Amino acid sequence: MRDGPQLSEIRPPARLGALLVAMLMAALAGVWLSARADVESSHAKLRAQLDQRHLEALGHRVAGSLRLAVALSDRELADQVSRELIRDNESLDGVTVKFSDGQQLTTGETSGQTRVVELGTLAPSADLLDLGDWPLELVRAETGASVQVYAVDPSGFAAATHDAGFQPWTLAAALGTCLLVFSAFAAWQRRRVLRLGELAAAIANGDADPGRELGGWDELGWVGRQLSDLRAVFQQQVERVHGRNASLLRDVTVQHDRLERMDRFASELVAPVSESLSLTPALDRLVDEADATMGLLFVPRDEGLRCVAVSGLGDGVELSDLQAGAAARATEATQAVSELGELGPEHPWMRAAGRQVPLRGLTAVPIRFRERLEGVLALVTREPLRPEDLAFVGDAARPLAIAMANHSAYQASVGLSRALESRNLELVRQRDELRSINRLRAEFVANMSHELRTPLNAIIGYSELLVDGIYGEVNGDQRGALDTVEHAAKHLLTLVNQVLDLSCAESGNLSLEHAPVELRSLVDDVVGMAAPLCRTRPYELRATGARIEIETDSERVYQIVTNLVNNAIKFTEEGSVVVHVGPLPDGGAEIAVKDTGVGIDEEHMGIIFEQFRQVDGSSTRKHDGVGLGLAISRQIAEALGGSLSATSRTGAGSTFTLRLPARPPSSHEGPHEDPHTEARERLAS
Amino acid sequence: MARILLVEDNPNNQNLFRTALSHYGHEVELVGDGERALARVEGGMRPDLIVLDLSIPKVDGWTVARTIREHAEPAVSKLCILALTAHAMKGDRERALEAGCDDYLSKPVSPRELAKRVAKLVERAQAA
Repeated sequence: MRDGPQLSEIRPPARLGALLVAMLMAALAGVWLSARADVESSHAKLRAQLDQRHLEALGHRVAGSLRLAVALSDRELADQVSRELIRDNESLDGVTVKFSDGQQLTTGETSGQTRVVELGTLAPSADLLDLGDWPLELVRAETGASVQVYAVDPSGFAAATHDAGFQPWTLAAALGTCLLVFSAFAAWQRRRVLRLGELAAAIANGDADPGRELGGWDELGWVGRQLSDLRAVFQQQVERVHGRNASLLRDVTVQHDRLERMDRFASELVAPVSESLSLTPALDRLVDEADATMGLLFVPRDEGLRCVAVSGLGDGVELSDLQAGAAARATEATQAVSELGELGPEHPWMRAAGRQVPLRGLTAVPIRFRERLEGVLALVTREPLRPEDLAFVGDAARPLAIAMANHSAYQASVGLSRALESRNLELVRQRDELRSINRLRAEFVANMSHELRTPLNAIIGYSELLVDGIYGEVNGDQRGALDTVEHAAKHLLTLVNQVLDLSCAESGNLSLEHAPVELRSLVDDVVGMAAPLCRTRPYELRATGARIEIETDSERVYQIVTNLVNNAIKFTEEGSVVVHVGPLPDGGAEIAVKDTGVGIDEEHMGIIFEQFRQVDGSSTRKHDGVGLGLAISRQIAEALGGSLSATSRTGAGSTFTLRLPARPPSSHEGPHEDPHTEARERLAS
Repeated sequence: MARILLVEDNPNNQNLFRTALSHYGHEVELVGDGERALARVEGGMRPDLIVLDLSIPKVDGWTVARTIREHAEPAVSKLCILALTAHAMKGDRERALEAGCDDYLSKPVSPRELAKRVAKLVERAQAA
């Protein structure tokens, strides 16, 4: 940065202001001089006139003073008065009196430069105070005396300037000249200012050669010099910018080339991920772009680096024969490792490629994707890689890593999906197996129950007929025996039905028929039916509670309540069995069978609802039963959309509570087939 | 009191049902399969009640029921049918009713039960 403009460079005399002032002053001086000349001349004229008047006045005064003397022709008086007058009047230098007798008296100076005022003759009769014009004739005629008054001409102007005056054209000439000079000066300065403008414009346009510069020691010259400096600096900056641009362009071109190379290479990698990813085309391109002779790609395996692709080694090369060798150094590196040594003709790669001429450049590049080593790329070049090629190879490693990572991820996912598929197949097979087992079981159960029921039917049927006397009268003993037979058979039938029910319930195939059911009357029925069983017991069995109507399967509810009541009776020796119907807040109802029996201890509470479990598992247990009742009852209760639960205390009795919803749950036919229907269909076919 | 056509193939059941029903005064005619049942009806038999076991050979119970229901002759199509279904399998009851049976009992049916239900149905039919 140069110093700021120095105003001291402007020489004061050259200052425009100074010049203007000088010119102005010259003009003024000229005007003043000419004016003064005019004034002087007019002054002189005036003075002359004044002198004349003065002299005339003086003459008259002298004449007036001397009249007496003249009139008396008194020479001494005239002399005396003349001396007085000369003494008293500075401008009076001499007086000459001519008397009427022709005698002359001179007093004072009458020679030299004098002006004579001839006053003519004095008339004695003239009034002394009145000195106006006298008629000369009159005076001469009267006296014949004259007075000559002599005075020295004080001002030199008299002769010289008798024609001088304040002339307009001198002033005009002076002003005109000034104007001309001033205009010329102004024009000159204007040209310089315009020149400054041109120079500035030239700088703005960036003209290389703007022409003559503006000099001078005044303010304009100063500006001109600033402009020149400005131009110089401007030029400098422009050149600097050009230089920078040129180098930027070079850099950009280099980067562009690099990107293009990358692009060409990377386009080989942009292929849909598929089972068979061949990296060979990409490797070929990479080798080509890097101006290399050979390229090898290795991937890490348990046993070390394995070659998966090569380029420039010719056809028919066995990849598994190629070892990584020195290139393995890259496995520890994060960047390309170059100058790994020379490859002579005995090098295995060279032999595989059949090359004789040694290659001097070996570069190994680790291909990493997020820290994980995907592979190692080895490039063999005639000479060690140049920096820009090395940079390119380093760049190329990234997309290559991504492609390889993608590929291995894809392979993993393919393997995973295959594993899943086979597992699926296995699961489907197992499911089908289970289904067929289920079906077989259902078939078996259906068969078995049918087989079991048929003879039971006969037993029950004939017992009934016999008891009802259809085959003839029966006596008391016979009736008792037949009753036993009938009951046993019915009991057996119940068990068979329970087994079938359970099988149905478990596979979700209970057929339920929902209708409005009034529960209190149902409970009354159950109690009524069970009453005979209590005849031998010394306690009461009764139903209590409100009349509540819900939508459910009456037969199944009947079944459950019967089961509960039978159980209660079975396990109660004395006290009571009460069946209570009550409402539930959600609109449903609950039926509670409360007994005062032996109760169930905590340990067994958990198992009573399990199939085939009874509290007393001994073979000589007091209460018979297979233990299906509660299990089935609970299943059915749940199928109806409700629940079955129990509370009890040993020795204090139990309460079994069946809860039912106001409405049955919506049909939940499972997606699985009905094994029973299938079983029947199979039997039918 | 009523004429009953009993369609049942199981010998035990045949005996049980026929004995019980006869004991209560009904006139029972027994056929052992569906084909014979339809033949009887076609032949002009108009029983007060048909007790039809659904699982019978040759022509099954459903077909018999449907055939009777869809018969052109009103006297035939309006015959009262009591179906005996196998133990409450899903759909059996619905199918029986769909096929046109008026009522059903699920097997195993005791003779007493059958007699009671028959009495009810006959009473209803005769009242109509």
